[in-house]
Amino acid sequence: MKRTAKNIVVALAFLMAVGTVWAAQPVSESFPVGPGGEVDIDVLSGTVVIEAWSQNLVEVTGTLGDGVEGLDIDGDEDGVYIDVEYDEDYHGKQQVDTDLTIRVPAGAFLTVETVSASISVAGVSGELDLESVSGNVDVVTKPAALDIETVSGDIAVESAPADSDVSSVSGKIEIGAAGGSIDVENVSGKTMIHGGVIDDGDLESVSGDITCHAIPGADGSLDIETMSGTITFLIDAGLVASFDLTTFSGSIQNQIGPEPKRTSKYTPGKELYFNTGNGGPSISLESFSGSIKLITR
Amino acid sequence: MNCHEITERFDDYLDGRLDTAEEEELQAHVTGCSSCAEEMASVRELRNLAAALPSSLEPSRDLWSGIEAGISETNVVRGRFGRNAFLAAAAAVVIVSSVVTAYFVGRSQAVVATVEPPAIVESGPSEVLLASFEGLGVDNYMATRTELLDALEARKHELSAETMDVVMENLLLIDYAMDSIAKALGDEPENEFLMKQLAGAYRRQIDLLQRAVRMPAEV
Repeated sequence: MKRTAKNIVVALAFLMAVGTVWAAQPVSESFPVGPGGEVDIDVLSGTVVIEAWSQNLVEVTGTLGDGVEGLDIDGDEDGVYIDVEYDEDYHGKQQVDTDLTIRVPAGAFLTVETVSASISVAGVSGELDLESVSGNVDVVTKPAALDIETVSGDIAVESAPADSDVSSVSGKIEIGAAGGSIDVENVSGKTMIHGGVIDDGDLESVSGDITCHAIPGADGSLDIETMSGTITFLIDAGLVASFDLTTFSGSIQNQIGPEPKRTSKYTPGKELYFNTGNGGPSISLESFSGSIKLITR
Repeated sequence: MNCHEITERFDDYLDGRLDTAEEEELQAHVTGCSSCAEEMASVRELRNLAAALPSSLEPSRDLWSGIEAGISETNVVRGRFGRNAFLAAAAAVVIVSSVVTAYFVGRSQAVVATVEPPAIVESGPSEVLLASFEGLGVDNYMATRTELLDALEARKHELSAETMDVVMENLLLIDYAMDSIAKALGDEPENEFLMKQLAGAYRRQIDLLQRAVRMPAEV
């Protein structure tokens, strides 16, 4: 009997030494917040799914995974923060992830920060400020404004609002429809804008390819710049616009205007300036060594 | 316009190339944003310094012999404000950028491989080089970039090896581009296309460094 008690004590001591081991802990909590209140969410790993609903309430359901001590929710009508608290001494494997579904008022101003947790937002019409290191970010809504930043996580946005700022280091950025002013920065990841309208756009990369199928606004401007990536810009054949295409050592493929000219007898640089009518948007495509492709639909 | 968009328009603003509405928006933003106001002051300072540069610049350091060939032939350093002054400033920052990137790469390798860093790291930029920068009035810029590189160095343990690789590869890619453009400018110091390319490359390198420094911790 004494030996059994001793073994239990040893086992407990061992568990305490390696850190707290938690099985999946179900969670279901809610907190009142104003309709346009700020909801601030901080999670390390797992998944965070955010959905809009019509109640002035923030509701958190799901499971807390290994190494999680608990869920901290606090705030007032103006804002609520949700913080998943981790046991710093836990060094075990993440057998069970933290998976949360968070319902927020549709007009909430949402701020989410994660390390590896993926972020998914649906239906929220307020401003979104989302940041993840390696988690993917998926936005299936058209918020009032959008600011997304990842290091290696992929970013997918169904419909970008008039004020959008999206950036990644090596993640893929994919935007279904641009919606006005958009600023996209990538380092090595690919950037794709599949459609929509860009009134004022800046798309930049260092080595990542940039593909844009959006329509430039009537008097808008669109600048696409890369060092070594390939720029592919798809336009309607009848688009009236002014074009400015330049590359230091890359190639220019142009289906609607004249042939590019050499910028110098000393370098392989090429440039191409032309208009397809009077007025219209101003489009600038620039690379160092990357190819520039101006293609008609 | 956000801060990034504002700072990108500084050169156009100072050259009087913005329309009235854009100009007013930029002025209003800078008035209420201390960060952009500081950046604007720096850009003004650089341009003023460039405008007051001496009539020749002949660095005699073998460290930058590759660049020297291009830069010293440019005749870009003239005592008037304008595109030549801008080119002079741009050429100067190319030198700064190339050197600090090499400096950082050396330091990076030193940390990872725990080997003796290259000579440039041990000695830092040469006195001749620093004197040249001082003469050009770009010592503040050197300090800014060194600060960014030091900040990144200090954060290395917080970033994954993959992320550091991406950052370093792309910094070097831009560095290579800047060197190539600077050399081309040596042949054609009046080429506006090259000036624009150089300015763009420089801005992207600084953007990348700034982003790398403020990236969230990964490990």
